[in-house]
Amino acid sequence: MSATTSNRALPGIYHKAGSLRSERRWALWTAYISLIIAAIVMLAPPVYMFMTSIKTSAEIADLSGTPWWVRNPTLDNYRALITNPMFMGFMWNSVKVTVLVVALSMFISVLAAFALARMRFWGSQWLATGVFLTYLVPDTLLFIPLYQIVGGLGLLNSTWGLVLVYPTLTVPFCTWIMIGYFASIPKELDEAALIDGANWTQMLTKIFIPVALPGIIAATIFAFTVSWAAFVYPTAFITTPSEMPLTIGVVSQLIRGDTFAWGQLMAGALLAALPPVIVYVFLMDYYIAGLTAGATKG
Amino acid sequence: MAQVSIRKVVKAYEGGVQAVKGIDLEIEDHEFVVLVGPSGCGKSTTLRMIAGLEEITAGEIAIGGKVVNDIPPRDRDIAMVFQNYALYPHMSVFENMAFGLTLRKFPKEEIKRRVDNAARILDITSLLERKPKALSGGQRQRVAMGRAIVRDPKVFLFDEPLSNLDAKLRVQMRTEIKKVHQTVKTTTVYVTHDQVEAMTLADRVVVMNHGVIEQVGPPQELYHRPATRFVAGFIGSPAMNFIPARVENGSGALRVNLPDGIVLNVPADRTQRYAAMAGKDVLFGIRPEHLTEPKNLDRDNIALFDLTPEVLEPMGMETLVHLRMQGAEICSRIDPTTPAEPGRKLRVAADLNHMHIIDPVSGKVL
Repeated sequence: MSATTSNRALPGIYHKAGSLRSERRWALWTAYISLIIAAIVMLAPPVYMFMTSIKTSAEIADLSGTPWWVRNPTLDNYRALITNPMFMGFMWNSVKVTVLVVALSMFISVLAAFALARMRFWGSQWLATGVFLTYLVPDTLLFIPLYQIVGGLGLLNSTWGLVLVYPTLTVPFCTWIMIGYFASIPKELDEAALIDGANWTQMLTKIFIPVALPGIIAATIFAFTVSWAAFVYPTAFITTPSEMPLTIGVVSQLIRGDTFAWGQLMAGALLAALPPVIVYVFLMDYYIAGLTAGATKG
Repeated sequence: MAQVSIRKVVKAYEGGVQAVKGIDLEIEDHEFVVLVGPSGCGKSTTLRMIAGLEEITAGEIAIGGKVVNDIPPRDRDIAMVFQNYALYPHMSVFENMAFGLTLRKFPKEEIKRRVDNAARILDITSLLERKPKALSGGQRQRVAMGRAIVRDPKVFLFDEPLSNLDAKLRVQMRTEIKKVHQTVKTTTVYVTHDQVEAMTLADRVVVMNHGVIEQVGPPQELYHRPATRFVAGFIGSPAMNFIPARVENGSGALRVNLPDGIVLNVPADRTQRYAAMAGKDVLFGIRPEHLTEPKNLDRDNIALFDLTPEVLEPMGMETLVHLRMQGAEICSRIDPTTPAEPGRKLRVAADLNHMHIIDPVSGKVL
C-alpha cells in the first residue's frame, strides 16, 4: 500500500526502479533457462553412460522401449571390470603416470614461474610469452616428432615414455598459471624476506609456495586432468596392453573387432572419470580461488 | 647501532634517467633522520639503496664504517618497514616477527624472548597468535615494526610507513614510532612525503627535490631559515606566501615594494643581507602566522596594510584568511575572534622580523 502511495508521489524514480526489477527478473529467467539447457546437454552423456553401465548385455541389445530406463539394474559390468586384472593394470598405469607427471610438472613449473615472475633477467618477458605459446601447439601435431624422440630413447611401449611427454602439455600452462599467481604477490613481500635474511630458495619455499598455494592447487588439478585424460599420446606410443593407461586400455581391450562390450565400456569410462571428479570436489574452492587470483589485488 | 654515510651517490636507470644525482649525507649513530620531498624526488630510491634493494650506480654507502655497495640486503644488518606492511600472510604475528631470527638460526628461547619484548614495547602481546588478515591497519603496522625491532639491527629503514593509515591513526602511530625510537635508540632513516611527519619525528630533516638534497637540518632550522625557495614552500602548512616584489634603495634604507602600492621598510639588521638585491625583482616570502591581525604593535618592524579577504577558513583555534593581492594570493592566520568577512578590507600586520627575500633566479633564500 505504502509503495503505491510513494509511487504516486515520485512516479519517475519508482518507474525506473520497477523497470530495473523487471530487467533483473528477465536476466534471472534467461540465466536459469540457459543453465538448465547447458546442464541437460552436459549431463546427458554421463547419465546415459551410467544407465548403460548398469544394464545387462541383453537389455542393451534390446532396442524396444526407451533406452533411458533400466528394467533390470545390475552391477555385473562393474564387478567384471574390478575383478579383471587387466583393468586394474590400466588403472595402476594411469595412477603411476599421473602422479609422476603431476609431481614433475609442478616441480618444473613452480621453479620456472618463480624465475620468470621474480628474477628479472634479460629476455625473461619474451621467455614467459614463449612458454605460453608452446601450449598453443596441439598434441595432435606434436606426437609425430615426439614419436621419433620417444622411439630414439627406447621408451615406446613404456609408461615412462608417457611420463616424459605429458609434461610438454602440462608444464607450459602450469607455468603460465603460476607466473600470474606469483606476479600477484606484492613485491614488498620478497623484499621484506630478502632483508629478513632469506636467500632465493628460502624465499620460494617459505614465502612464495605457501602464499601461492591456491595457484599451485589450481595448476596441480590442471596437470592431473591433462595426464589422466590424455588420449593422443598413449594411442600413438603404447601398443602393449600391460603398459596402457585407462583411457586407451578401456577402448582397446573392451572392443574386439566389431564387438563392443558396451556395458563394461561405460562402466570403465565412469570409473576412469571418478578420480578427477573426486579431486575437483575436494579442491573446488581452491581451484576457483586459483583461477581468479591476480585479477584483483587483495 | 651505527652511522650511515652516503657519499656522492647516484642512481641512474636505463635510458639515462637519474633518480638520485650525487647526494652526500652523514647520519649519526642513534640519529632519527627523515627524508622528505614530493613524489619522484629520489627519497625512496635513496632509502632502497641503503637497504640494498636498488643497486648504486655511482658513489658509495657505508653502514657502521663498512662500505656496503656490494653487500646483499640480508648481510647489511638493517630492518625495513614498508608502506603496505609486507607481512607474510600465511604466518601468525609471532612467526612474522620471528622469521628473520629463525632464518638466522637463533635459539628458540632467544627468539621468544625478543618477540615477547618487542610485542610488549608495541602493545601487541595479545595478537601474537593471529594471522595478519585478522588485524587492523594500525595493528599490522605495529607488527611490521615489531619485525624490525626483534632483529635489533644497526639501522631501521621506514618507507612511508603511515601513508596507508587514516588521519587519526597516523598521528597516533607517529607518536608510537617516536616512543619506540626513544626506547631502542636505533639509527633510523625514515622516508615520507608528509612534512608534518618529517617535522615531528626527525632529529634532522633532509629535504629532497629532483634527486638532489635541497637542505639538511633540524626541523626548526628548516622552518625558520630555509635555504631555498623549494624548502621554504615545502615545509610549513599552510605554505609560505611568495609575493613578487622589488627591492629599492632609498635614503640609506632598503625598501621592499609589493603589489598594490604596499611599501615595507627592511629591518635595519637585514639591510646588509639584502643590499645586493637593490633594484632587482625578488620574491618576498612570509609565513601565514607572521601575517596576522594587528598585534605586538609595540615591537619593531611591524608593517600594517589593508587587504581584501576572499575566503575565510575557520579552524577553531585560528582562522585562515585568503587575501587578494595583485599578482598573488596570500594566506594569513588570524585570531578567530577578529572580525573579518569576505569582500571587506581587513587590516593585517606583517612581522618583518620573519620576512624572507628570495632570489628568483637562483631560488636561494638570502
